[in-house]
Amino acid sequence: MSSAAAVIDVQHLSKTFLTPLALRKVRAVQDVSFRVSRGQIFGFLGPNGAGKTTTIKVLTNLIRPSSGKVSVLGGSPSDLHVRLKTGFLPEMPNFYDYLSAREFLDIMARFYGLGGRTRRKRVDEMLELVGMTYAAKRKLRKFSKGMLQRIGIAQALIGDPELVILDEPMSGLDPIGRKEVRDIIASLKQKGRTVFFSSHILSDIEMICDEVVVLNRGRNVAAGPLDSLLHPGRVMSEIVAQGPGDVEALPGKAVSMEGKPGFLRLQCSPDEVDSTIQTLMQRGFHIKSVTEARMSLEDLIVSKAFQEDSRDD
Amino acid sequence: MIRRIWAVVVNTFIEASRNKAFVAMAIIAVLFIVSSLAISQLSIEDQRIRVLIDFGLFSLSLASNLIAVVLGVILIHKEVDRKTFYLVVPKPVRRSEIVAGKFIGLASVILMSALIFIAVWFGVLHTRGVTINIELVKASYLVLLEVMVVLAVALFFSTFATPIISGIFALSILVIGRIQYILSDLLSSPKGFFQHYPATKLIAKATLAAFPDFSVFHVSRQLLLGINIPAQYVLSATGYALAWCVLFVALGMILFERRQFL
Ligand SMILES: Nc1ncnc2c1ncn2[C@@H]1O[C@H](COP(=O)(O)OP(=O)(O)OP(=O)(O)O)[C@@H](O)[C@H]1O
Ligand SMILES: [Mg+2]
Repeated sequence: MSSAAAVIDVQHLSKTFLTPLALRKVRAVQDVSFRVSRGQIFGFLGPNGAGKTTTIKVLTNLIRPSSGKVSVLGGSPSDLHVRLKTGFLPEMPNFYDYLSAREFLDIMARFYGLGGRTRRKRVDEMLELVGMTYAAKRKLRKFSKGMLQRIGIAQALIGDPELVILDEPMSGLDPIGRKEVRDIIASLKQKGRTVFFSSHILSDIEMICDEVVVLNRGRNVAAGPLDSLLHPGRVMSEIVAQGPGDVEALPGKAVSMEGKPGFLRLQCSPDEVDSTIQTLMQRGFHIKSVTEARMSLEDLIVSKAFQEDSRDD
Repeated sequence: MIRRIWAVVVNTFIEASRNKAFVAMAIIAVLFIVSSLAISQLSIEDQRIRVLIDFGLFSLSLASNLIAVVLGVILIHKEVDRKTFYLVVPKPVRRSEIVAGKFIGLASVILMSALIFIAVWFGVLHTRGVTINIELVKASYLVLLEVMVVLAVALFFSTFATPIISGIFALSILVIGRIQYILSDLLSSPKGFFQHYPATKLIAKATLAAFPDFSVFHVSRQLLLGINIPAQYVLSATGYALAWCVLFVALGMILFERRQFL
């Protein structure tokens, strides 16, 4: 797809935060590039502190990049007409809690130039969409976390945006709420909208994303269609072993199992199983089980993160 | 543009009018003026009206300035601190429009509470047999002009400083503005400090020019002497206040425009 069709185009983006008095630099994002095409549901993945929120703040005109180029809907995030077509849900949003849900959405709708009757209609539609009609007159101060998250999604969609940027939209929601948000995202795709969202919940991303980009410690670690990243059909073998040995000294990535002292979990490709078991047994481990597992997104992050670490050393 | 500014105005107006500190200050101010009735009883007959007028103008100015400083420094900071700006700044609205909306919203809240205050005050004056004339209205209007400048100053500081610092700076400008006339009196007197040390004259003159002179807005002396305030004076005072408001709001807009929301 040509770059003209890219809804979000991030090229070599870096953002460095300076602590007060410039004593220390935090490189939150370093040389990150990715491109989101129109009509996609695009997942933005990465462990805590990976730089997701920082990237999203650049995309939404909250902060300026230290270097690199960012284009949203063919323009700069600071362009008014770009923001007119963009909806945004911040991470852990705080609301004007002295307003009722309806008052709040009404004020947010005013920024999109919606007048009188259209605005009221739009607000009602959004309340309905997120299932908050019954609480429309209640002050946001009295809303639960999940109810607020729904109002946050409603305000992101109030201007009927072409591009929706959501920073952890499922956080704070119960399983039913998660499903509802997934359904809303899927229905946006149906209408030809583009959705860019970050999440920790891998299953949520796996279930609905067309394409993902994975960050770790401020850098790109993987990008592309989900299927190609997860190597469909390719099986990984997982070995569970028990022993007194030092996990750190083992080859490959071995992780201790939580709550089970002395147990460790290790993944390798099927043809490495024999040699890996040999090594383990030589070091005094007992093999508890060998299973085959499809590589999950979580494994992807862990393995990529591990490669990054060993490159640093 | 008007619609977007209006969105911020509506929100600011609701926020301020539902703010407990504001409501408390406004109620105290009104109670204050009612209690001035009692105070005026203590003074001798021909001083009574003088006390009521003086006290009324003084309370109007004190309460409104206080509300302007408190709301001006708190409301922007609160949005940054609680990150509610994350919901507004990415919206299709210019940052300068947000600052303009904040100013207009706060100004309307303050003017609304001032009007209530003035109504009660005029009521009190009326019960004491004082005829409410246009001069009294002009004097109140001038006081409110000062409040608008103070609000612009408070808002300007709050676009980059913490509430405490902004509050101190805004109050300092209010105090400097109130005592400017002392400095200018000293400057023009044939004897004294500035004549001894001519080098300091320039600094003093620069200070005079750099800060608003609030004595322009205080006419209670003329009022009590029965001197009418010329319409021309009111007009030029309006222009003076407007110029300072525009300056501080514009500076606030520039700083807010460059701000990053970390
Ligand atoms: N205002 C700031 N000042 C200094 N450092 C910051 C600031 N904001 C973020 N950082 C740092 O930048 C890095 C990336 O943070 P960011 O919030 O973008 O991560 P994230 O991927 O959104 O994480 P999470 O999943 O926990 O939300 C972190 O190391 C964080 O400490
Ligand atoms: Mg984040």
